[in-house]
Amino acid sequence: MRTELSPADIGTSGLVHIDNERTHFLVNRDAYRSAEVFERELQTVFGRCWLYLGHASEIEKPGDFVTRRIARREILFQRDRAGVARAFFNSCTHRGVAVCRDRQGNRKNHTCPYHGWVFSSEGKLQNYGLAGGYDAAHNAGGQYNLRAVPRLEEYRGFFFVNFNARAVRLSDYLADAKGIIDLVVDQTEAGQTIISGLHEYTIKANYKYLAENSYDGYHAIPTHQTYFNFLRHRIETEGGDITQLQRLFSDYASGGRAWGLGQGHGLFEALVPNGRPVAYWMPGWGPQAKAEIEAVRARLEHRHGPARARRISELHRNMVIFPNLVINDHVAITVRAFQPEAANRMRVTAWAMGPKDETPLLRKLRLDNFLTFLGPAGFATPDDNEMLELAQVGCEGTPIEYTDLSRGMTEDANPELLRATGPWCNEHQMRAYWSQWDRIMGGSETLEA
Amino acid sequence: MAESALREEIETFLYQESALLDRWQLREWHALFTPDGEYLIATPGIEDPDNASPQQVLFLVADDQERLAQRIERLLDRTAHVEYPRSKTRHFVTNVLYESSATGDVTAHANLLVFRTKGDDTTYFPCHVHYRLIRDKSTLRIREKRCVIDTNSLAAQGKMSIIL
Repeated sequence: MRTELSPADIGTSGLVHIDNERTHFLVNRDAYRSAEVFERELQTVFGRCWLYLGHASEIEKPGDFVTRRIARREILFQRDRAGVARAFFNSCTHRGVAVCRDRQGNRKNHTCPYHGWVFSSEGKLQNYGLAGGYDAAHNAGGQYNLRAVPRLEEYRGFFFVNFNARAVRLSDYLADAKGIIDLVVDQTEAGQTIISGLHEYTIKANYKYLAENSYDGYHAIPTHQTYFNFLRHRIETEGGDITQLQRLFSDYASGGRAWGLGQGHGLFEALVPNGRPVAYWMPGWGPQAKAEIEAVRARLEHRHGPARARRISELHRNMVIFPNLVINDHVAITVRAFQPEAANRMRVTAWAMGPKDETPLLRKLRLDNFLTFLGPAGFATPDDNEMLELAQVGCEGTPIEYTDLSRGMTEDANPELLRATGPWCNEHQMRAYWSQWDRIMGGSETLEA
Repeated sequence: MAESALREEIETFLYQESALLDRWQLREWHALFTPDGEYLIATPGIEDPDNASPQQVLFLVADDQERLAQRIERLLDRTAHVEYPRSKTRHFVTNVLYESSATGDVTAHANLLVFRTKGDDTTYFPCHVHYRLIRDKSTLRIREKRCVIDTNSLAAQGKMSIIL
């Protein structure tokens, strides 16, 4: 794995064109619309990158499991009887049938429904259903055990898989994204947990459109005018303090920053426009919530000092971990993975995350915040999804060659593309993403040790 | 009230409610609620969606009157991009069952099938709905409308941008 771009790397995929002199950053629209490019991405991008699988809290107890579809592969994410987290391909080694048909549960063994082969939570083939018929050494090499995904690694409760056995370690892959995950995990001593109720939906657009959208500070005002109308109305009617929202809009460009985190990951960080349970109170939430949020804030300051506590509480972060994971630590925390299904279709799964020890009132406010903005019935996300689908239609139905991601190139504070830096209303973080995509597609980055 | 008259009253109420929604008379629809009324859509796939609390489990929609009013104003605004141009909807309400209390309040249950057409795409939402209806003088008002979508996800529908 290499951490710097050399000029020879740039444009190796043939689909990303960077003209520093004219400050043009162009992506060929075939990257969004071509079935052939999509098939190559499945082999390269999704065959080499670490891909988010699930969170430790989803398989807390021995025997707990969830089934997931990751980059068109069926995966069984299982905690075994000894408490070890495992990831298997969910397919019987006999004839291919899915050995687990439930989306979640707890089980000591998985029995294939077709011929009754039984596999333990460690993936070991226990028996063949019907006695006899096989030599005693038939599974001596273990080749009939459930097939483990080549690599499974964890960073602070977030589990990722890699389909390439020779891949770099997850810790190296995540680069500076680890520090942003820390800002989520450090919000509670008790640990973060996935809250029941996951939002799953389809967007008829290329998956990279959602990556771009998830940390796009530029689109917020035109796309989400109705959400900001709602926020303003709520703050005004509840006698709240409108100054933070006004500060955000009065000089939009200075309200936040975006930067690349290395390896194609990136984020923006900006003033939070609304209250957050950790730990920024707003007047409409009343005195009880105020006392509880002050207690959360005091604990944060005690553990992390006032500056880090303020950063956690009063700024929000929208982060994309290359290629298909979003962790948005916004008015609520959402973990959102989007799976490529076709060049013009993705499947989105979005989880709400919150502290295990959160009070009932703060949990209620968190869920309120979440579904007001986020989710397929929120006041904002459906409009985002509409924009992505319109982009896909426009891209497929016209011969126009390029998409432009040049905004802010003239003022980039870091010449290293994977660390591009500048105001959040620009496209620095997207250029970091596309530079990594270009290297992987072009073969100059293999993500191998 | 006679059994058949009560059934007719409830069914007529539900049909009129549907008609308001399909005509996009959303403010008039909103006026059917009590001042403490709630409009809920459980997230598909959750455990016990008929009884789960939106204070503990992530819902798709959990609106009090204030947020429902804001949702409606948003949907009627042309910058609610997902509903521009406005989709066509058609609500079908059937299989109505109910229990009534001595005060005249009613708990009603119905099957609901809603079609949404945007552009050339038509999607549908198979649901069942629980209503808590309060008798307010001579009319019924909605204290709670809880919709449960009988799917495992919104993979087929993509979004929930209309009122069920």
